[in-house]
Amino acid sequence: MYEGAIQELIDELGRLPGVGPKSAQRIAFHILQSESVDIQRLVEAIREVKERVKFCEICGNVSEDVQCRICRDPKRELHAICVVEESKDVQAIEKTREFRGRYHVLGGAISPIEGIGPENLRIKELMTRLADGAVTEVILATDPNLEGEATATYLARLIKPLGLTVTRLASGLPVGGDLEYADEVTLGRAFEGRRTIQ
Amino acid sequence: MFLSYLHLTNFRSYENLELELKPGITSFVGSNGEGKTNIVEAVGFLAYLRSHRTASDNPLVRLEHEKAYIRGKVETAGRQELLEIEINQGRANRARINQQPVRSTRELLGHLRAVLFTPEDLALVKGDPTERRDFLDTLLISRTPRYAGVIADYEKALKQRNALLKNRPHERDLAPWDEHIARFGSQLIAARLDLIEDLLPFVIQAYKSISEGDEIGATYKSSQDLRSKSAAELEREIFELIPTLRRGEMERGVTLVGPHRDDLLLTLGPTPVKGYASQGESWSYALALRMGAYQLLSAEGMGEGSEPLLILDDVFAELDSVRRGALLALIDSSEQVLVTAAVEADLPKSFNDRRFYVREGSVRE
Ligand SMILES: [Zn+2]
Repeated sequence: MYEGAIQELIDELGRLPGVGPKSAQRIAFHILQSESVDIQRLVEAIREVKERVKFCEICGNVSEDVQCRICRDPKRELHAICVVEESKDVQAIEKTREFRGRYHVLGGAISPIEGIGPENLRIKELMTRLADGAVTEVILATDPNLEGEATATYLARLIKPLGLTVTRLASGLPVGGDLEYADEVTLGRAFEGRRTIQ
Repeated sequence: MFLSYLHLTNFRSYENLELELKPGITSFVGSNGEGKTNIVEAVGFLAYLRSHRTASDNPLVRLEHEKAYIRGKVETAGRQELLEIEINQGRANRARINQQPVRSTRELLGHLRAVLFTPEDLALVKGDPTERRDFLDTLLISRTPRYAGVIADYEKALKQRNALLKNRPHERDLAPWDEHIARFGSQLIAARLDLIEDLLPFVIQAYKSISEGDEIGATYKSSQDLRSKSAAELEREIFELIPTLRRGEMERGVTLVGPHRDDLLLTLGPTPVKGYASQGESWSYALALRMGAYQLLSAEGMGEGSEPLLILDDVFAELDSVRRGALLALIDSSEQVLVTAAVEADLPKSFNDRRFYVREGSVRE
């Protein structure tokens, strides 16, 4: 245990995902020994991201405006929506350049252990978007793990009665892995081979 | 196969232990608490990714340290592989094979195959169904490592579903988890059924080598009287059964069908073993199950030089001369045997072993 401010910083850093106690300590001392201007830039960047970045009112993706770059783009096809768990998944899929439609970010996956049910995800917003008749295909690109699969199954049962085509990214993605970590070739191929959910 | 090298870092009592090992019998002699079992526990961890003594990995890491390492070189029919596991306090473990990091520690499974005998094996016969399910699942994973994934998925789906059941869920919310339970549960049950069919002849043979008299039998008993054998049929059967169990499941907040409620029913002649067999018969049975497991893995290996490691943790003290004799025959057929004992007198007199003495965390030949 250190005294005062340095321990507080270590504790705060330790709360970040993927940062263990050892790393938190290393980062804290790195900050302590860095030039003030460098740290100022970091502080600014953190403040800016909280102040400027919002969530797109249509798809829920991170955005600097009320609507994100993708939703504003008139060249994106309106008939297909790709449903993902997090904004980072949008980035991963965009890199493959296989998908020309628009996205819907759920904000997570169903996980009863963590108290996350369908009502805690942006599912109602998705159903509202689907109701306008422009969308004919929904691609479920939730993570290829148990919770992602459960979320996809739940959505498929909800959407199918609307008469829309519902597809799931084909396997070939590592099971239990995050979509984000799948390499672009795998992800691109998965998009080509997406299958219709029964 | 055999382990030619073992290196432990901050594992249990060992800050740093390096051992060069050879085929044949190696014994570790030391009083309880001196650290002899820690050595074979580490070897077991390389094989199964779990300890035979504790469900949590935390006690495996030396006090006041964040991680422990187990490194082992495995020689299989002239081929060498270096297996490494990093056991982390409060974080996921990591593994490497031949210095290459693997995506999941599970990829290590199957690279080192071992069958472990312990004094607690009596619980296979006398203990709760969970002991026998564990026995089957551990053997299943040694035999077909991909089932580690099926089992992990099933257990996670079960936890998720039970968490949901406790909150009086909507039918629509349960549906995705019903599907998971039926899919992974049926795969696991079908695999256990296959395993029992293949294992039973070896167990019967092993029991005959220990004890004369009644024929033994083992049948899989599923909690809901499932009839199918194939995974596809079982999946349908479980899926159709689930709605009929709804009320009870909601009331109790637990999943009432699936491999987590099943048992392996052991019989001796016409009677069930549990509750009826003598201490001696129970020991013979427990040994026969382990020996059968060993013989099955040997028979399914890639031939000469691929027999699993035989690990005997403190078992000789528990056994009379007849049962010791049966084990000695198994020892003769193994490429490498690791044995622990509290005192030298526990080891069979005929033992042609390389002997290490374990005392206060030091290991000397
Ligand atoms: Zn948007």
